[in-house]
Amino acid sequence: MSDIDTLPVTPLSEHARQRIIDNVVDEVAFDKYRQDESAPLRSAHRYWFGIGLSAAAGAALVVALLFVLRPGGSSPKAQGVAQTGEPTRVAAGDAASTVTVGTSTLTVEARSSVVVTGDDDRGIEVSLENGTVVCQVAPRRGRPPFQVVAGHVRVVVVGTEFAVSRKDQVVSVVVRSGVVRVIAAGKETVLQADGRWSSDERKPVKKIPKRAQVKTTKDSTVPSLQPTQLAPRKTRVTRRRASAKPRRTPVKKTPNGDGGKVQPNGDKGKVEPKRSDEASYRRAALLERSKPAAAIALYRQVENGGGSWAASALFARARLQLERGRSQIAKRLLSRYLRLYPRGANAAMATRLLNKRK
Amino acid sequence: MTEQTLAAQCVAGDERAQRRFIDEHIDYIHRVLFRILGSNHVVEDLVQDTLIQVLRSLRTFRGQAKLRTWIARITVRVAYAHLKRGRVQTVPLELLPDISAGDPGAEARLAARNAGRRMYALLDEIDPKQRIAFVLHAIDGRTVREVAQMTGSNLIATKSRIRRTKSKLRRDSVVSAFLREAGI
Repeated sequence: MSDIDTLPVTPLSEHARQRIIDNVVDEVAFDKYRQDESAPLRSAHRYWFGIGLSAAAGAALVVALLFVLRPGGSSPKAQGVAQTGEPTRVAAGDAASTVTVGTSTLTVEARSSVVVTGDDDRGIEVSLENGTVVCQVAPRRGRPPFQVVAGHVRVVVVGTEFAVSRKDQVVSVVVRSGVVRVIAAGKETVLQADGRWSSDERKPVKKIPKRAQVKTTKDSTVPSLQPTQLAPRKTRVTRRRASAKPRRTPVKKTPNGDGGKVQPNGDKGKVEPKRSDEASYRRAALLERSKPAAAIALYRQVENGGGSWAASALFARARLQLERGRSQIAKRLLSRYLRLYPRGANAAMATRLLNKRK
Repeated sequence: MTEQTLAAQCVAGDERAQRRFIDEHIDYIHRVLFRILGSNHVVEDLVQDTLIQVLRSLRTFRGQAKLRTWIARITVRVAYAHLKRGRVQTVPLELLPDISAGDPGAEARLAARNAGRRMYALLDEIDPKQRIAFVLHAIDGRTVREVAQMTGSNLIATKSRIRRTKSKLRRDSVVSAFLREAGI
């Protein structure tokens, strides 16, 4: 349908446009200041003072980053985009620094330093000298791995956002989203979202700094573990030994009472969480547009579970196949639905769809 | 400069990059909001809110969808939140520029303006989700699939919202005639 010519959009005035741009830039700069200082500023006077300060802090951060990147061989124009053909050392001062490496982003926390080597094509290795680095890693999709080396500990990325801290010989890893494998002293541990690991088990692991608590990229190998925008994901923590034979391991109970399980097929990276049928169904519904194949797989999983959501899942699978133009499969599924659930909630609709196809 | 590079620079706090980014997307955001709300009365504030949300969330942009689609989703969410709060104060007089005397098409455009004003007044009474789906499809000319993407709904729900809104609007004879003339 075409635009209605008789209802044109009244454009913003140049003045309003400029005012919006200024306000937004100030607000975002103020965010950065708020994050850096964590200082609650309440009065209007303090607000504007904060904006001034944050602008100055932002400028100082850029200058410091350029100064730090220069000896490592990266070009000054990069402004936080590491050219990682050559090893690049990034050392943050009193404020954190954000560096983009290929399609991934590293946030080097205050008073931390890392050396970044490689690129997306050859694999990226981040060597953590000290402090904390928060990594947001784009899906690897068969590309060479993204690894963080902290002393004797090596963290291989399977999924997406995690922080590695090193203080002397104590290394800790916190996963915010996705899955990573931690290899230390010949042992391998798979960490999922909110999973924590420390080389010194007596020491509690600190949470990821608030700045980094954002949703990031998905990894195609573990679609069922990714968070969605609409529904907060349940968290699970699973650990296993690499050398041990595949077996079920006890899982820590999370506050929501849900747990995860390790697949007994010996595939180290793949961890399948246990979802309720309803959660899986809702997740599948959300995936319909972006990943229809994954949605169909989830619907099938719910259906095979035989629970109260099985009928809806079967119908949803049929409908989705129909929308994808796979009418033969859809017909078969609709027929099965009518056979199994002749008085189901969607029986009338299934009959109608089936008749339409005949 | 690619979108990704510009986005990375914005995330790194580069003010010039942020200004450029805003400049590139402000008109698009404004258009979507204007279509949904029908006037510039509150749109300015909402454009600002949307841009702040976009810049704050930019580091989570995964590049799986087009940047525009991602921005559109945030825009729709901001508009929805506004409508949901019930602060709809549409001033549809802005729907057309002032009509000067002696303009040959003035009468027709005046009628269209009146119908547009009526339509947005009726839309104020309609569920925000239905309203958004309808205006993006019927008024802004987007496909149902696009609207579904923008609103984060599935195709069936989107179609149903559009259909329901249309049928509600058609109860008003003036708006019905206007929609018929516009081919909606």
